[in-house]
Amino acid sequence: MEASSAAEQRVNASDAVGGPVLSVADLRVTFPGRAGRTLAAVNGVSFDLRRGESIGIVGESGSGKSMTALSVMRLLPPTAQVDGAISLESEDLLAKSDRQMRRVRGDRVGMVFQDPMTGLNPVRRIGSTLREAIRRHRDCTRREADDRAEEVLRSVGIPSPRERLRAYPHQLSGGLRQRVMIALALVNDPDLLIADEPTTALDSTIQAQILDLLKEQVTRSALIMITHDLGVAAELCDRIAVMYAGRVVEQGATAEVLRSPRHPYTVGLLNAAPDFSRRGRLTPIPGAPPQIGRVPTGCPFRPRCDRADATCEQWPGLEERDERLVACWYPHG
Amino acid sequence: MNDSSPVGTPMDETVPAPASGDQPLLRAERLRVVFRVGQRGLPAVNDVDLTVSPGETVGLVGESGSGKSTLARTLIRAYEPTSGRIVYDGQDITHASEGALKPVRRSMQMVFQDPYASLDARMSVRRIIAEPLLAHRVGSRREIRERVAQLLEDVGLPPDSGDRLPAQFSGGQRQRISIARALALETKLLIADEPVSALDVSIQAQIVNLLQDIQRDRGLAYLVIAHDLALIHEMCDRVAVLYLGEVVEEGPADHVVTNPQHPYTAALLAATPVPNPDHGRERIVLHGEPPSALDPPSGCNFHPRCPIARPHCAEESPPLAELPDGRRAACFYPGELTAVGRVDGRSQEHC
Ligand SMILES: Nc1ncnc2c1ncn2[C@@H]1O[C@H](COP(=O)(O)OP(=O)(O)OP(=O)(O)O)[C@@H](O)[C@H]1O
Ligand SMILES: Nc1ncnc2c1ncn2[C@@H]1O[C@H](COP(=O)(O)OP(=O)(O)OP(=O)(O)O)[C@@H](O)[C@H]1O
Ligand code: SF4
Ligand SMILES: [Mg+2]
Ligand SMILES: [Mg+2]
Repeated sequence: MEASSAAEQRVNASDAVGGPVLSVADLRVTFPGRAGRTLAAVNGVSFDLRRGESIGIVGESGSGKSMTALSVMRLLPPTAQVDGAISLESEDLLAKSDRQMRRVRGDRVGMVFQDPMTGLNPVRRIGSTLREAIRRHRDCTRREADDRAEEVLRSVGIPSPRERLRAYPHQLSGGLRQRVMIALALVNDPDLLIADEPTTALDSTIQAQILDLLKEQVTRSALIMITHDLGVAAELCDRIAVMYAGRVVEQGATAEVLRSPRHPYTVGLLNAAPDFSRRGRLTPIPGAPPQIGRVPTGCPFRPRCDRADATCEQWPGLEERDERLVACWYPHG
Repeated sequence: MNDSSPVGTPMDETVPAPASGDQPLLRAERLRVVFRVGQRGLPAVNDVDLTVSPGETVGLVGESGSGKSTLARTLIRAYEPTSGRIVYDGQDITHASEGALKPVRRSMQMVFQDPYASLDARMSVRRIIAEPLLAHRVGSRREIRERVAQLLEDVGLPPDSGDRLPAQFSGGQRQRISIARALALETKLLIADEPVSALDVSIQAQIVNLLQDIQRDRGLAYLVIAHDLALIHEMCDRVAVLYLGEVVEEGPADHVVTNPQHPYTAALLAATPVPNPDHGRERIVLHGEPPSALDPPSGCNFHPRCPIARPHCAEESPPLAELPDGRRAACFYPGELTAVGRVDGRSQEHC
């Protein structure tokens, strides 16, 4: 079982109980650039997700987290080109027609968007939005849809759910609105829930409530949690994939990655964040993440890395060792 | 515009502050700021006492709407307080006129969360940084040019940055530009409202270190607003925790953050996710959300969400009382709810 190759991009694949709910293999998302160039927003991302499992996609602004999520939903901007394979319960999502995808979205896959107002129509009552989401996928009466809408609002901890059905989005606080978004994503019992920074705009005590809610949901489906906060991933996710400039640079069991990070970027992120255990100077990562189209060849982290040398001008490949995937010529540990 | 201006009867001009050797640089006493919302008054800042000594870093932490920005803007007198008193550098500025505030504005500066919004997109970086010097007519053109070059170097920007526009810089660099502008005059107090919340983690640390270096070199005092307790712990000597416009706990940052005595501070700490799988922090999940300041609860402001509230807490409001270690907490049962239970062997379940 020692054979480690970039092709075998799975962690814990041997523990599989049944097939994965979602399988993403060598995903690439590119945009057309100037003079016929292509700009890669996502560059070779692979992961599997089983029922009851949660994966955190962690990385800084522009690293390709949202583009990864939107690929699964097939909601990328029109100019984006997507390559690789995405399958939901062994069905090829990239081969589906738009019409077939509309049946997948909101039914088998639910998504909570980064911007809490996306997905909620400001001039429609909450109840009407929920009812439509139910009846698009289920054959049921208005009364049955209302009952289901009330039930799902209650399940996400919204007080007086029956009355809230009549509320407009702007009449709710940020925390309640995000709960409604989660309710909307869950209303048809999806197999997969994708949450893109669902708590970034919220206060920490409200964030804690939402994380609790998502934790409960994981037991029933599978979760992709997108966040720039390693702490949030630590609370919620079994595994994490750390992204940098469109690539996964480290992937593995969350606790292991946080205890013994191997990629210099993961090490850098953990050192840069204040964490209560020490006071005194923080250790920043020098420089800034590259903009799309200015990503260095080879290892994209090379200009900011204290271990880099000429070898790093070649892409090191995402290699597996001890159930951890790391893309670095000189990993820690 | 009228609907959101602070209301209330200005108090009498009070006696000038006594000049003593170790007096604080900034002192707010029983500060109240009430916004008019329709027919009603919204007390955004309610009886707040706060001091900042020369060279000291004080943190303000609390949830959205707790009054942090309003307090900061009132201290720089962008708002006029409804009641209470602000003494800056020995001078009562509570109701000082714009003319009287001019010298104050030379040494009290503010940096904001969103470097995009706070920098004029059409101005060159040189012009942006020179702005306060021009406004206060400090120095000749050549002196101003040299001063700007020095400031660019101090905040770690390349020397040729002066000719460029803000849009050509990343978020972290833009924050460096606003810090340079805030340092252009003889700044003694820098008020930073969420200075790094819009930045990526790896860049946040660069800006925090820059602020710390500047403080070490120039002996500035900082008032730092943040919602991130870990950041406050990292940067501040003292911290005040705000809830619904009131200070609920105040004291040395290290004590308050690592060993909170007010249940709200404990809940904030417990709710801060840390990327450490072995931290063994207590889980305290608060129910509900902060009530509106328009319609504050009876008794203790925190009682509707407080896991240890007793009937008494709904009737009487607890004073901000001094505890044996010198900090202050506004709770009848300080220290009863801790966020570090497992660390000292205790265990609690508050959900
Ligand atoms: N329509 C578009 N055309 C060209 N490039 C785009 C487009 N949309 C996004 N990008 C680029 O794709 C890259 C990845 O973007 P993405 O939104 O996935 O980042 P992210 O990791 O979600 O960041 P954030 O934390 O800021 O949300 C970025 O460099 C972005 O500029
Ligand atoms: N100009 C205004 N007119 C009326 N109400 C206001 C005004 N500015 C702030 N408020 C109200 O005062 C209270 C305190 O707001 P403030 O912006 O000071 O909070 P904050 O602690 O800075 O919050 P955040 O973390 O969201 O920045 C809130 O209830 C807010 O709605
Ligand atoms: S491959 Fe080289 S540059 Fe990239 S992270 Fe590893 S040591 Fe650093
Ligand atoms: Mg995103
Ligand atoms: Mg504010």
